[in-house]
Amino acid sequence: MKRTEALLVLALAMVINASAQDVKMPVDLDKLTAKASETTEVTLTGRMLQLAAKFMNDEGDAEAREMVKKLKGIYVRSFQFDKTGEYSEADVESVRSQLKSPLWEKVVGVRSKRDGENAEIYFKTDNNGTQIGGLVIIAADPKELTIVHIDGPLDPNDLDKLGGDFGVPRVDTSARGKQAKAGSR
Amino acid sequence: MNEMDEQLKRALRRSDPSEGFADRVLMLLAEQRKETLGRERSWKLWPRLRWATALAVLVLVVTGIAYRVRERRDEEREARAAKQQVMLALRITGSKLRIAKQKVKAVEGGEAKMENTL
Repeated sequence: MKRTEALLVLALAMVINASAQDVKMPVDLDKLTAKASETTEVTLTGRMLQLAAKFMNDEGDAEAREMVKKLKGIYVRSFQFDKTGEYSEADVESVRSQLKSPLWEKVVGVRSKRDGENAEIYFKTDNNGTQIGGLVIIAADPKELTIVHIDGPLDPNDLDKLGGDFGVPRVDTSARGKQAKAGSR
Repeated sequence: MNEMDEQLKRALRRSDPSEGFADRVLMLLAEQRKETLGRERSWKLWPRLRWATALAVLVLVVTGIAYRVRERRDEEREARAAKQQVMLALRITGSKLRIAKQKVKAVEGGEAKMENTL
């Protein structure tokens, strides 16, 4: 009886943990900090995002605030290296392997043989593929590795804003919706 | 002398008090004095107690307000740091989206192998 209860508790804990953050930044990734010349690490969970949203009252913050209010978490790991070969394919694979279909859908995958710059964008689909429930970007250059995970509902307009209104040039993502529904890999 | 004079003489004749009378009177006086003093002292103490209570309440209120102000300031500092982190994360995300878009465009020129496009 006690064993059954323990198993149930364990299963429940696993479910809760899995739903809290379905993509985990691998611990090994943090070891790259020692090799990197520059590291950016952002870990913001629900409470901190709500707190930040509460104080996003400056001019031009409104759009970002509305987006942030809906999110469950923002996780960024960005490493810049002085020389090439400081991170391995296994480091990237440890994140990539978590982004499995049907929950995750790879919408962009670009590999450049010439300069070794790779970019992958994944969307998490919610409500039978009608909503974006999260976003993961893996940008891997010979001297830079960046992984972004935005956990929470996003709509195509949010992606437009991300590309334009937060201090970076606007990215035309108007075709995204069609492709996500087309189920392209 | 008539009967009445005789009765008066008997009633007003000198007689010694019972044993311990003086002690009892003195004890009674002492008790009365103690009671009076106690009452006077409590009347003198009451305003002091009142002031002490008021001061204690004032200290509590001021401490409470100071605690709330400090808590609010800490929360604000935490929120501003969180906001900066949010903006940094959004900028990095935006810049990576832009780079991905550029790479997708570059594919059109045959520079890279594209698996999909935005």
